[in-house]
Formats: sequence, C-alpha cells, structure tokens
Amino acid sequence: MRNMVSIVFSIVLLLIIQIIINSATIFYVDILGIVLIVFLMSSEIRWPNIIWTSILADLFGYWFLGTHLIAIVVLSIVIQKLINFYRMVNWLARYIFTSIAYLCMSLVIYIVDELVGKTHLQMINILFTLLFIIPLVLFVTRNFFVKDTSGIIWYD
Amino acid sequence: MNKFKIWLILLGISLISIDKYTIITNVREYIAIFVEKNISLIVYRVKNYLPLLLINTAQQRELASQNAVLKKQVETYSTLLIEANNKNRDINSIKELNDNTLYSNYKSTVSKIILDVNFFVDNKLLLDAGINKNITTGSAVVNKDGLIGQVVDVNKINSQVMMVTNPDFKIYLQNSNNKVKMLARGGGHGSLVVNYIDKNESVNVGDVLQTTGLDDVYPANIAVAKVTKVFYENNGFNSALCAPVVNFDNLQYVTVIHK
Repeated sequence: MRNMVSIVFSIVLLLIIQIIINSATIFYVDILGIVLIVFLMSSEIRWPNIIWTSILADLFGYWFLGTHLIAIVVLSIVIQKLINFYRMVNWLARYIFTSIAYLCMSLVIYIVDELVGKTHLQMINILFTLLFIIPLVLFVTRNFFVKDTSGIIWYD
Repeated sequence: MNKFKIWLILLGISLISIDKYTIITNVREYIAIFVEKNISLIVYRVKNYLPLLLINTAQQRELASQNAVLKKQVETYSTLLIEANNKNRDINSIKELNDNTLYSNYKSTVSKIILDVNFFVDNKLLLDAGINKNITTGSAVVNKDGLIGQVVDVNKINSQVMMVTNPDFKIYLQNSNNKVKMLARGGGHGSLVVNYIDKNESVNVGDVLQTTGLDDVYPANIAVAKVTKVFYENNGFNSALCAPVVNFDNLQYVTVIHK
C-alpha cells in the first residue's frame, strides 16, 4: 500500500512536470507514455493500472482518448519476451531499452494519429524526450517499478 | 491473454471514436488552453519579477533624465513658437506701417531685441543688428505702437538704443490735437516730462504727443507718449507728466528707420 502511494505520488509529480514543460517551453513531451512503458516492464503493475494511466496520459495531451492504450497493447505484443531481460540489466541497458520501446510506441501513436488526422510529432520533441525525459523518469521511478535481480528470483 | 488485448484495442478504438465525434475534444482543448495560458502567465511573471525589481532604480533614473531633457525641449520649442508668433505679428504690423507710407522717405531694418536686465534698468535696449545691417548712430527705433528710442551706439553686430524714458533723451513733440510744439525729455521710471508749457496752450490729460517731422531723425506723426498729468510750476509755466505709448515690457522685434 505504501508502495502504491509512492507510485501515485510519482505519477502526479511527472504529470505536473509534463504540463509545465508542454506549457512553458517549445517542447511537447509524453512523460506518462514512458511511465506506461516502465509499467509494462514491471511485474508489480497490472493491466487495470496501465488502462487508467493510458487514459490519464491521453487526457493531458493532444491525443484522442485511447491512443496510448492501443499503443501500449501493441507494444506489449512486440516486447513480451524481453520483459525479464529488462528487469535484470543495468541502468544503461534499461535506458537504451526504454528509448527503443518509446520510439516504437511513438511510431504506433504516430500511425494512429495519421489515421484519425491529428499529428503533432516533431523530431525535436523526440530527441528532447530521449536525452532528458527518459533518464528523468527512470530516475524517479527507479525504486518502485524495477526490482533488482535477487528480487526477481525471489518473487518469481 | 491475446483475447484480452484484442478487447483492449477495441476499447481504445471506441474511445478514439467517442472522443473524436463528441464534445469531449472541445472541452479538453478548452481546458488545455486555459491551463497553458495560466502557466505561461505565471512563468512570465516569475521570469520578469527579479529583472523588474533590479532594473527599476536604473530605469527610473533614466526616465527622470529623459523627462528633464523633454521638459527642456518643450520649453525651448514653446519659447521659439511664441517668438515666431510675435515676430510674424510685429513684421505684419511693420508692413502695415509701410503700407501707410509713414516711413516712405526712410529705410527700415527689422531687428530683434537682446534682453538684458541691466540695459532695461538703465532705460536702454540692445539690438542684434549693427553696422552689418547699415544701422547708424541717431537712427530712430519704432514699432507699430510708436517711438521706442534712438540708436546711440553701434558696433559691428549690435546697436544700443536709448529709450524715450531715459533722462538723457530729449525730443521735440507736438500735441496730436492742436499741433502745439513742445520739448520733452525722459523722466526715468517709465515716464516722460514736458516742461515750460505756456499756460495759454491747451494740453490736457489723455492727449497724445507725437513727433513733428521737423528734424531729420524721426518721421512725422509717430506717437510717443500720452499725457497722464498736467500741473502748474512756480516758474509761470505748466508741466506735463507723460507715459510712453509703447509697452516696453512686451518688446521683441523693432524697426530701425534711417535715411
């Protein structure tokens, strides 16, 4: 329960950061999208949480409701086999893995946006997210979503 | 599990359809714009608070100096405007005088008075024209109201004028009503005095005294003074106290007339 409070607090904090960055800078970032990816890789977070978070992510962005949900479901089909590997590697590999997953999710979101006629994708935003936002989210969520190797062995 | 994911994708498609074809999009966009606007406002205020606080004193000082410069400019321009208006007025009045052929036998030169308190106290004036404008000693100085004085000293660029109220000034005048001739002199303190008026000659308060034209200095019939007081003196003659017709406090441009 205590862990859940910390997770909710982290999500709210990241959401505020996303709103501030989107409103006060030229960048348009998708922090909750990265959180969704981290959720997906974690054994603690289940689908109800992913659904609610994806709707929350759509609510505070330009996307239509359900876009993130479709993207994360498609992503889960693709990277299903790599989840255990992700949980065991060090921070650099996690960063690279999350970045690749984020790019895949962005691609799915871009395709959905193109289909519904509402595209806002810009390379500068992607680069900003890869270089600054993903490390930030991984740092904030490091204690909550990703266990160390011994924990995985114990719980699994 | 795959069936569940298919259901999730269908849920996502449904949500997109609902969002796209209902009022939800408009509400969300309105809220997003509202939030963005207020956050931008807060960021702007936070960013500018400290610079405003720090620059305030320097800016105030700069504004004060700019204000002083502007005030000075306004004063200068208003003075120039008044001078230009007065010049036009005086030149027009002098033209009228020329049209009346009052100075037809004389040459005239318009000149500006250089204001100097010392000169004014001594019943003298300084003009900005001298030998360079062919002004010579003895020339008469007039404006549209009447006689002001006579040039007593000239250098290359300036002339000194003795006003009619100067105690050293003497002039031969006539009464405009009955043409009675008399000698007047400056009385100082903004007045002229006429002595030795025959008791049989009629000089009354309010009479205007003007030039006779008998000398070569002043053209005839230029108003000089108005009688303000007539009194008897023990020597058997009357005397008259006169005030000049020209208001010396409002002089700016004058005409110097000479042969």
